[in-house]
Amino acid sequence: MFADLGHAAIRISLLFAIFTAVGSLIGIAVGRRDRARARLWIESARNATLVTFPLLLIACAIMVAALLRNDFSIEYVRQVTTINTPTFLKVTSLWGGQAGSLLLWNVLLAGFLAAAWLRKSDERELMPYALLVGSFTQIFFLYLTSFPEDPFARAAFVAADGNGLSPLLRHPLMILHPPMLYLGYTGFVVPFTFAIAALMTGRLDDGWIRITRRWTLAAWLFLSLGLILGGRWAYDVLGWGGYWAWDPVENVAFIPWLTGTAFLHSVMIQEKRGMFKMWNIVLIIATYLLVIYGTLIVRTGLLQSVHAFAKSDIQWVFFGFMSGMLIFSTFWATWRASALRSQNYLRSLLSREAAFLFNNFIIVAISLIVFVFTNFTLLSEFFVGQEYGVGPETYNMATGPLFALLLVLMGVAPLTMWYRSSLRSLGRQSLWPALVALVIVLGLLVWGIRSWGALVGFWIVIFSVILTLLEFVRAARARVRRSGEGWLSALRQLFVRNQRRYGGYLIHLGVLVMAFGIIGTEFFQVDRQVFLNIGDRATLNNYTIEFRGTRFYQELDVSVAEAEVLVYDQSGRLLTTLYPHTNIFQDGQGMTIPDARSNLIEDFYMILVNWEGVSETGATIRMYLNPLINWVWLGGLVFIVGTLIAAWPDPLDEKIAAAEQKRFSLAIGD
Amino acid sequence: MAIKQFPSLRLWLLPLIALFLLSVGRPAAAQEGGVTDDDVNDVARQLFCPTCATTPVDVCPTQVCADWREEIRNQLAAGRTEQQILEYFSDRYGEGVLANPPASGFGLLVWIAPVVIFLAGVFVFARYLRVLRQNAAATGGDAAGTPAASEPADPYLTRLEQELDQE
Repeated sequence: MFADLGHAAIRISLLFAIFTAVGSLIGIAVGRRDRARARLWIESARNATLVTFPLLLIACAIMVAALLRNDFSIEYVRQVTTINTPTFLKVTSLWGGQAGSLLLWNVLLAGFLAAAWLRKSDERELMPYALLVGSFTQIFFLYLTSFPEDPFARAAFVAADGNGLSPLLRHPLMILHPPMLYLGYTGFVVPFTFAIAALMTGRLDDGWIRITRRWTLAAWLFLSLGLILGGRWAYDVLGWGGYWAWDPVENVAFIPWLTGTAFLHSVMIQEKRGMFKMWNIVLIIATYLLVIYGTLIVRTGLLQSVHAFAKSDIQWVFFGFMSGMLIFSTFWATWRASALRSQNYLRSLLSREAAFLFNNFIIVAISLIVFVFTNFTLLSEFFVGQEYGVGPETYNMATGPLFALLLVLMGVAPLTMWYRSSLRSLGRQSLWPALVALVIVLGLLVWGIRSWGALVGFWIVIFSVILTLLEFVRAARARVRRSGEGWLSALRQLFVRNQRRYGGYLIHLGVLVMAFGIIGTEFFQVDRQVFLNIGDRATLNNYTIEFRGTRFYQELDVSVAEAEVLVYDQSGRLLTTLYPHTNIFQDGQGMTIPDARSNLIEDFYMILVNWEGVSETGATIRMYLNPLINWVWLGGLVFIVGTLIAAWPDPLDEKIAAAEQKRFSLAIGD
Repeated sequence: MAIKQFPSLRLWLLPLIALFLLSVGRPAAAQEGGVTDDDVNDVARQLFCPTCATTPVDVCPTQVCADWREEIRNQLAAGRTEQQILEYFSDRYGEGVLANPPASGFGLLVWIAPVVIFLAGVFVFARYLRVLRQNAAATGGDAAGTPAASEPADPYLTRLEQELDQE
């Protein structure tokens, strides 16, 4: 019964999505002859999209109910839960497996589209086209959920108990991570949709960019959150001592984030100078396709093992859809190429627009490199019949210098002016921050830091941090002088009056703080692995540990092996006791849970190496010293706050947009 | 114990590094026959697990990787160098097991690709700027928006004030 209701909800929403496409097409077709009829069609197409969202919510609710009731007649429920699974995890198992995640994808996309149409329903000209383009993606994913990846498919037999979620996914961070990532993914469909609509209508001013600016920022915010949470999860659960391993699954979420970042920057040139119209279209199309590609990779495990490739068919459907969208959007971009040509040119390579252009150039280069490396297993398998993997070290080597350039640009670019700046004034403004940074770095050198790569990195970070802080200070000072208000109120006013710019600078600051932490861990991480019997000691830098034995116990359905390790400092003072442990689940899967002594200077991070064999009296311990790692999370926090400020709805902005829309409607005699 | 070094700039020193790697294999089992876990991990982290794609062998819990680590330990104890051991694995299981693809054969592509992407980018970038200029010359461009020719005392503050006024 449950399953039937779920099926019905999903398939009816598929029908509605198809109706959206058909209705908007008819509306477009009759639009020239009969405005009133066209409007009716388009209105009902819009309503069909608005209905899709609640229908899919119902489907999700039914799935959650089935999960809570242990309805093992549904195959998906059998796969992701057991009778003993805690209620909270039962609910979140909604996206714990393949079919459920795709259902979540659908409902989030439907939500974004519905919200966009509700708010932009007065956008008469772009609307029918946007409805049409938006429905393509929805139809494709609803097709997947209706047929090949049906979450309500019946089990072959009704099992007494289910399999349960993979233990790695039972972590709170991992429960939050997929919805964030998918919110980011589906959010990017909105700007793409409007970009193609702009191409189709030929309304190629920056209207579509203004309409979708906040949507893009929201999508970007969620994608960033997804990435940060994913990194923290890896650090807390995977037990390899790091937060980013350049794993294909991480990369495919990172690449659209990069192109999205480039897009967020380059649209500002179009708004100010009317340049790079085509480039912006290309960037958003690329971001959209990379989002679909990312979903494909994660959902089909394509890059995990090339040999799993033949086992499932949905990747061909994915490829088909992606090629379709690629051809469709390329066609329209080419069709409008002459209208997208820029009437202006770069007057100087020292201008603000040039700085944005450099930023785009670097980010896109990084994206391309990461894309090639990520797909290298596929490429090599295809061309030479052998899989070559690309390790983290190679990624760092290839992208490190580019990231460094980007950080320098982050500091210098805000000093530049539109049209043209003089080298002299740029030099004058960045001279003393450069010197201050140099003095600090020389101090570090004297203090004993000898890695010149890290020194260069620190110099860049300090330099750019000073310049970014100066942006705030100078602007606030200007306000204080002009209006005589206090410093705090002046700073607050900066954010209120120009949330986009100062939110943006706060984001820069967050990135720089993260970079500080990343340099610390990447250059100075040390690790040591030793086998210890009870009472044995081992030393890593300033820390000495003493193994006190392993305890084995059962906790619900989990067997735990937990080591007790005392941590002393150099002088022999006891600092803390750490309990790294291993959880072994019923299905035999193990999970390595590290323990750490953590502060702003460094993490002393430790895992119980369960794959080396553990007994009550002896165990293999691997210690990591991760300097400055907490700055990565702190920077992430600043970053998120900055994005929230930049994306926060601005009442003034809304009014301007509404007025503009009204003027436009009047102009076309609507 | 292994200290990670900043690898990025080595890319530009590639030939030198290749030479260095070829000539100086780390004398692994330096301490009298006592091969430590760290020595094993130093080699193991440069190999990928053969069954779980991009997981490095030093942190992989599968049985295959346990066997591989054992093999590495034995070879280190027998006095073989890191380079020799890596060669042993890549000869047997293919170059795909190396975490950093070799700078030869198809793996060379990994080393060339970033440089090619970068240079291609510079080329496209330069061309694009030229096209922009030509277009603008043909249509007149935004000549009106030229900033003041004479530079005021503090151009930054002037701009800032202008922008603050605009809002």
